Amino acid sequence: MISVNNLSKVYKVHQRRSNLLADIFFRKYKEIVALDKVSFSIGENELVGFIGPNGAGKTTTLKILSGVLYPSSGNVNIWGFYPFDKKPDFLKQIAFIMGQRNQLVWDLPAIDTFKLNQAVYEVPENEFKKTVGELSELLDCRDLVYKPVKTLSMGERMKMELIAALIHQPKIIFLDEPTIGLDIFSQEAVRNFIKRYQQEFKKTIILTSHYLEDVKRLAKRLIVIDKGKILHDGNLKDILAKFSNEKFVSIILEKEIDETELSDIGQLVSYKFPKAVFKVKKNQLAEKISVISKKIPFADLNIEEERIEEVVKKMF
Amino acid sequence: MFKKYQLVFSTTVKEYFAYRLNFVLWRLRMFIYLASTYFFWQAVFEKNITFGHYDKSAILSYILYVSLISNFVFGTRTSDIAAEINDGSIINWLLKPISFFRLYMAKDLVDKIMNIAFSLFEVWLIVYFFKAPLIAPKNILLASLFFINGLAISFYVNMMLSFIGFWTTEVWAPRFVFMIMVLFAAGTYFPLDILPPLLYKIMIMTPFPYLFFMTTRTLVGRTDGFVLFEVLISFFWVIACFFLAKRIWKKGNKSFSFWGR
Repeated sequence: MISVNNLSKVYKVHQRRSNLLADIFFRKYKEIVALDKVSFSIGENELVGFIGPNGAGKTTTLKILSGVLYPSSGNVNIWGFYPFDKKPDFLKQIAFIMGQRNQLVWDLPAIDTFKLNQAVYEVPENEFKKTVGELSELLDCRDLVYKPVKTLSMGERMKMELIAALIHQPKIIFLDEPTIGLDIFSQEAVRNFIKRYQQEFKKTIILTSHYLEDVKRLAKRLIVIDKGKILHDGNLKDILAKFSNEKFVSIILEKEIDETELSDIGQLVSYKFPKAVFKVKKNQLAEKISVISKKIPFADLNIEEERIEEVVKKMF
Repeated sequence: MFKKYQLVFSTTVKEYFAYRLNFVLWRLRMFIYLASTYFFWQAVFEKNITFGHYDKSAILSYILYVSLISNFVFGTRTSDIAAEINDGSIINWLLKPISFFRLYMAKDLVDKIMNIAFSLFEVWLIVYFFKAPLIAPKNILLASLFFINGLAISFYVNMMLSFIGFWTTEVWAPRFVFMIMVLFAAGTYFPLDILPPLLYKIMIMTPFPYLFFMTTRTLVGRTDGFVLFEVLISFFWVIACFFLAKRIWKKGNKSFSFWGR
């Protein structure tokens, strides 16, 4: 369904110098390779996660697949469409949801944006009502659709955003950092929704995120990308097992302890009273927590996954 | 097919009503501009019977008509486009099965209607309270032709000015220069044909007089005989602006990086 061959994208970025005249009349540009001969294909009903550090090329890939960006070279084919042509028949089958900016009309209730999208995508009235009903049910937000968008919290806005983007029942959904900036409860609600929506409606979803939790929970297949190149394309479990074999244990100390005493327990990553962070091998986690519990008086303990950037770094 | 643009229209109207005070204060500013220009010209005619080939009633009518027409022709929401390009939210429209040009025509229409509604009231205030000698509109058919062409030129020029956002974030300077040009070269404060003939001949080759000067001059009956040349030039600018705007739009879409947006 989605076929990408040798796709490249090079951005020309203006380089500012200290000379104002030169900046105006003799601009210099630097070329930044955002995507470098990337190839992959995605089948129907797949939920694929793109992960990678900032500037890895995740969002650029999504923007080319959806037709926003014109590729510098290579081929993209989605059901025989070339996305950049933005043919109405293609646009009616996709949705692009961005976590950082929304399409909702700020001063009006979300229902106004829904109705606008209904008209834009030519969705019949009965279908529109059914979809809005189903999605509001899934997101548990029936009472929010009539409140002005500007009065909603970020999490509530994201729920409205999801409904607005899915009114025309697209076959492919591009989700760019859908949980960014949300509190943990809203992140959870969005993740649950994406999972249930994909299972219930059998859509193809392509997701980018900085949060390992997003892709861990949602995507079976993971494409790891860095500096415009695909580092790994495959099963999520394999990647995590292979590349993420450490966890971070952070504790909030009750009283100040000497750094050397903490270092004796394990690899101390950072220590600034009252917080100390240890890096622990996954297979030693239970043992280390037991040692910490016995030796150090603490008020709180948290176990965190390795940061996605760290996992990706190990893939070189 | 047009239902989507009707919805754009009604949604934009609702947006306007969310910021009523802003709009009313904007109109107050425009009214002060209109009143000052009107009283300036009235003061000029205290000592003169004619100015150029305009008498008092013709020039005061010109000022009032130009206020109405310019409010409609120049009412626009296209200045939002550059901001949408710069913050990346334009993506929301690019990926919808909707014509971007028609989308902004619908939004512009709301702005124009809101402005003309208030402008009519403001002109009425001046006519009623200051007994302005308003000439009945003349040559309505020809004026309508200039008016439609003025609308088209204004729309496409405004679109082009916003599309600069595809290449740079510094979009206000070109728009500001254009606005200054409009103030002087489109006949906002005085009829252009009172200028020296050579200067006037040069000016009518530019698109500015076709925004609202030609329409207003025609309405107050100051067209000298056959105006085929001016009609042809106005059509030339409509066609040129149309193709240029479309070309810049295509080029902007293709070369724009949306880098970091």
